[in-house]
Amino acid sequence: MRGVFTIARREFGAYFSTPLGWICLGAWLLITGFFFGWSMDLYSAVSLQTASSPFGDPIDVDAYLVAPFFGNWAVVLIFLCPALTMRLFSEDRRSGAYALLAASPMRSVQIVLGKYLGALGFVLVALLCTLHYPFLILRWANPDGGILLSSYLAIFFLAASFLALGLLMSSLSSSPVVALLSSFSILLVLWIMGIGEGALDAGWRDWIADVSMLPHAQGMMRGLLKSADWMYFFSLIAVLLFATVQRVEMERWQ
Amino acid sequence: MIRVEALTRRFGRLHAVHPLSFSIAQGEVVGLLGLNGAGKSTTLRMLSGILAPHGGCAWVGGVPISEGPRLGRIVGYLPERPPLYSEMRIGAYLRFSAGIRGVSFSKAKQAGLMGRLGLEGMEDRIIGRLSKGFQQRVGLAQALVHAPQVLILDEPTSGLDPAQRLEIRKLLRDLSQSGCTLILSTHLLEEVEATCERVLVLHKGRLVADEAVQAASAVRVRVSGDAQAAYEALVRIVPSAVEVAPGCFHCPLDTERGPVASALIPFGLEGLQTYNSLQDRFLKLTLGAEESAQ
Repeated sequence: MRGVFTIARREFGAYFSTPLGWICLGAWLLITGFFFGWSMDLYSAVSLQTASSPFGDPIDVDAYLVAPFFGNWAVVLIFLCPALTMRLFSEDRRSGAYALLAASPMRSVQIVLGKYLGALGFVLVALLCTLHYPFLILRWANPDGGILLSSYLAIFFLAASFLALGLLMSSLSSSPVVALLSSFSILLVLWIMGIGEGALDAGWRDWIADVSMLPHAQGMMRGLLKSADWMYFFSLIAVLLFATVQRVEMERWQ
Repeated sequence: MIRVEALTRRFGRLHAVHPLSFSIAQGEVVGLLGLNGAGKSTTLRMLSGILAPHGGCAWVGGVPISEGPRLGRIVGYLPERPPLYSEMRIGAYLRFSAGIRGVSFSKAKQAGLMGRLGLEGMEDRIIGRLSKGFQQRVGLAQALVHAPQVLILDEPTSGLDPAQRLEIRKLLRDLSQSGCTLILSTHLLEEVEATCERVLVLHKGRLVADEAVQAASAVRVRVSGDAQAAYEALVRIVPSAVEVAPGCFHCPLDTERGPVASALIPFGLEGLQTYNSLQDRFLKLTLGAEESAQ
């Protein structure tokens, strides 16, 4: 495991020693900040309407503030995660640095895990940098703490799955741009499948709900921590990482 | 230390390496020569465990090359393009290289290694901002970070100025004297003459020569008849002649060719050629083979 963490530390550090990491982190904070402001506006408007109506029920802060806020994060991750993973293998291969890892005693699975954990570490830092938002929400409103927590979990699992897919795409190409575009395209298709399922008949809808990441994350964002959703994300990440290991192993034979 | 038996490698339909066999003893310094596309880098990549062979096998320090990760502990490998992370600082990069090989790399070890490669006081320099020569040195440093038993170097002096080349040659000689086995591929024949004891010449994936570097500058004699009787006849004229293979003899460069030819014609003299330098020999082996193929 020491070797895995050595690689993870290097990859994590590389984000902060190049403009890529700072740009991604800056963009993430800027966009999540914008969505926070937008969600607050929405919540304020609905609150005012409710307050001016004598028959208005108390508004649901989870439905009007927490859900739209976290719901938009998933879209941001579709752009962010491919940018974080694009260079993990393809840049190493393009620059020739991959030979250092390939000629080391590290096994393919250790190399893949190390790179994955490095990227996951960056996402964790990006999520930690947003912790002031739930604190502000908790200070101004009275949301369900469990929903806040499970929303963070949903976002983390979504990001972890997106990173695993991005890592696979990066292992398939020597060009970071190709890796970026291919993983972005696949995530976009999966996303569109998730939001367009309502237009389909029941059979397709069930199939898409099973396959697409979004419905599994939406359940968690509503505070429903079902074992099926956990299993879905764990299986998806494991399959994608396994495919990446196979791809890296195959490279010796090509 | 290195044993190669019928190693082959294809890339699609292209046979990059035809069945290749040779062995290298511990502490030996061997040069791998060949034109571009001869299969040198492919052979080195197979020996370092990066590339799997399609046939045959090889053992490096007793470890089969099919067990790639195990090789990483005993082999240091410098590819043609140094495997560098341009955004890293030299010190951090060397510590990372040691970390993935599972060896401890103290400050003293780091300073010692960097000093040997002329990198002292540069641990905080960013690799991407170094000149090509210094990047090459950092690449060599990563190959030495775990004190390997076998060092595989692909164009190790590429991009270095003459003074730096001399330093690297000295380092390679020191490593060889300390028992490290070296195999290096280069296009610089004077590099091989200055550094190596033995040379392997590859041409289109085949081994066309495996001989001592000194023997490259010699008068070569080949007979088809009784080799033992021919050798006895030859040493009567040239006492320092040596038999390098059955029916193939090497004589010093100043040997007079006339008497040798007269003495060996009865034994089926097939060839009597003078090679003035390794370059002469190399060009005849490679370009000569091209011409005869045409």
